[in-house]
Amino acid sequence: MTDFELRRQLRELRGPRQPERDLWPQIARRLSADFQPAAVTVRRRARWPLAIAAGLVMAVSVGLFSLSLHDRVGSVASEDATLPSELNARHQIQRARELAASGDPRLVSAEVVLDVASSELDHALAQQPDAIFLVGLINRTHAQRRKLARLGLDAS
Amino acid sequence: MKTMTLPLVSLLLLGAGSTALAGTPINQSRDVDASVRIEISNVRGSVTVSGWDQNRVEITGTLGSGSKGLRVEGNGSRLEIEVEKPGSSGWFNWGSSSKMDDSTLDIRAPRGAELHIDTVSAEVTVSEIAGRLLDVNSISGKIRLDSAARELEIGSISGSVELKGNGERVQVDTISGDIEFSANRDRLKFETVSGNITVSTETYREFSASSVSGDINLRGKPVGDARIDTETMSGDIRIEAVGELSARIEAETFSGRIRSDFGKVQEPDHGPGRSIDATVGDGKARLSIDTFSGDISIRRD
Repeated sequence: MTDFELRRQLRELRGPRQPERDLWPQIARRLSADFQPAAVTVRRRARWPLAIAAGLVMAVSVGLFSLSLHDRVGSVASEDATLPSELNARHQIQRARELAASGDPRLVSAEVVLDVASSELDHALAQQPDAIFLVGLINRTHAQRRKLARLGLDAS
Repeated sequence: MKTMTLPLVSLLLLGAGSTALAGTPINQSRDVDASVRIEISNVRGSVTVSGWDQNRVEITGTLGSGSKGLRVEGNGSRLEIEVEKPGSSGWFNWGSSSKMDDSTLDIRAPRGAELHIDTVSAEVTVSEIAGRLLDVNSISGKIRLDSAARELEIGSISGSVELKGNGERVQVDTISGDIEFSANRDRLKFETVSGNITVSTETYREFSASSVSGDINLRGKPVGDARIDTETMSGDIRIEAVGELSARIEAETFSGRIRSDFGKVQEPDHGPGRSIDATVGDGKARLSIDTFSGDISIRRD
């Protein structure tokens, strides 16, 4: 199978699919069976202990989580106010400064370009995980980074 | 004010003149085979190679002050020409290359020569060379080739690449350098991270181009069972099909727009994305286009 055919088949998986047979009669039968009073009573009785246990577990979990969150609020309050994109930009500026200070100035701009590209590609892939071509672009960006690293070694 | 400016300008000109004078003239020549392999390296300044109908390599130009000298070694089938750096460090070493001034290499070589050129910031210009292979690598130097070499292999980090001249295959990769190709070659492969790719060719059989944020523009006629693969993350892709197009077209974008003279743009009822899946003519050629947020345009020229 060629890449071209593989991509087409992956694309087709994403679309709406028609069931092979009419599912409604079976659904309707189950719904009407569920609404029979005797069956409902039996099932409700059978599930009460489970529901109470689950409620207790949830209440305890929420309480513990709230306590731990309360402890952490003070330390992370300033970070919460910062948007992820701002953090990203700040990180990139910091990285550029580090490179400019320590690396070969001829390679700094390329390093920054690769950093930004990698970060944006990761973000894009998170939004469109089935995009094989984005994986290809990430791999090529990594290859360029390796090439740059080799040049950096030669320069030192 | 004028009386102050004139002496200042004169001083500056004098300074510039003395720098130019500091360069040592180069004048060397070697007898070689018609298909000689020549390896050239120069860190900064320029490398200009032009072909001629003589089995001889002639090297002229100036050697920048600070360089150790010009090394010319080899025999009739293989020749190395290198502007040597001071000290014993590698040729790409930043510390030693910053101590050198620009060197200018003007080289005449047999038309059938195979060239391998490495530079850091030196510009590279090649014309009238039609050997088996022309291989050029640079960090930030601009690369301009007008060559009918059968194969072109170009690598650049931030320098732009301009290519002309017909042949069989071309492969270019850059990080931020723009790529401009205007010639006829059957197999074309371009990769960049943020540079733009602009290709104008009469016909082609294989076209592969990828970019993260740069745009891709292709104008030409795919022949027979040609294969076209283009992909970007945020760059726009524009394909201009010259003449009658006969191809299976598959184009898809996650959040970009699609404009096409062929097929109908499909949008799913639920979720993002636009795509085209169409067959034009007998559908022999295959056109595959993918972007994440870049726009796609497929036009009939």
